[in-house]
Amino acid sequence: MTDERFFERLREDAAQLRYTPQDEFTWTRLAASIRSRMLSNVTVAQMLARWFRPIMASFATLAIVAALSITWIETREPAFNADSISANSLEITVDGDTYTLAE
Amino acid sequence: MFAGAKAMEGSACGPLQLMFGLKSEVDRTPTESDPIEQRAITAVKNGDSGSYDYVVSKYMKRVVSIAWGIVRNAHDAEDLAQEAFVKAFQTIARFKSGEPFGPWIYRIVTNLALDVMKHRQRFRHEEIQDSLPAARGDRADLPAVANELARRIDEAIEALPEMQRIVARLYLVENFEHSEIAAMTSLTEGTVRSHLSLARAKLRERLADLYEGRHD
Repeated sequence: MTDERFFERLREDAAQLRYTPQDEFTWTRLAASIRSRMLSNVTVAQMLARWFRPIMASFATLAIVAALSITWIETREPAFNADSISANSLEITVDGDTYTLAE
Repeated sequence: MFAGAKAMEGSACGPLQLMFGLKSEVDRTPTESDPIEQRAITAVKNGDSGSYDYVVSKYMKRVVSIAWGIVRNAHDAEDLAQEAFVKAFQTIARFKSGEPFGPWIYRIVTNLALDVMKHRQRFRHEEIQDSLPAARGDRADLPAVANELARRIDEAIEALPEMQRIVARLYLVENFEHSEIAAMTSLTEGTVRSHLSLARAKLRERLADLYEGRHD
């Protein structure tokens, strides 16, 4: 048997040496411990991610809504065009002379 | 408990498998792309710590096994696994999205376990040498060996020098490749091959009676 073949065979046989407790409680307990340690050791970055990101997202949404609202209101205002000038004549008095501005 | 636990149980053992048990096929290292895992990690990065449960349950058994193989103590292995997962969670922002999580958590737990071994060695050197050398691990924690072959292999691996033992265990028992072991232990691939070559010669000598007569 070559060295390579020996090592292949040994690798196949050694696979059963893997440590795998069959007690499901062990895994549940470990997972619970990890979760509790995670929650008790929150880093600054995670704190930022957890709290500030939603807050910043809310501010960003408000800013977008405000910008859109202002734009919409501005587009709804009547334009100052020739029709509105002709409908409302304008009189200007200079040194006793009265001038009327109309179509 | 864990979200999607059934779907992710890729490398675990069947219900009939015992510790040091009967399963002969070798599980592959779970480095394949897993879209659920990618989504979970993205969610964790965005502050959803609950999504980390998926990652924990997927890699927990393998991580504990790696730790146990190095420190040979069930209590220490469980502590190391916990510490590795917490450390990975705390530094998840540094984890490159799109990469498989496995190699990263394996490297973390291996480094933590190697630190424990260094600490133990230092502690042993500082002890007054008025007694026999301390055992590598707590023998009471060794699981029941299912068969003679497994017991002989385990003893032969445990008799190897420290780094040969660790590298041999990662290669033979945990089924990692040279490059993966190199990444996990911070050794070069050449050094890993060298450790394995030396280990192979010693194991072949120690297990000659089991393997030399077999031609299958």
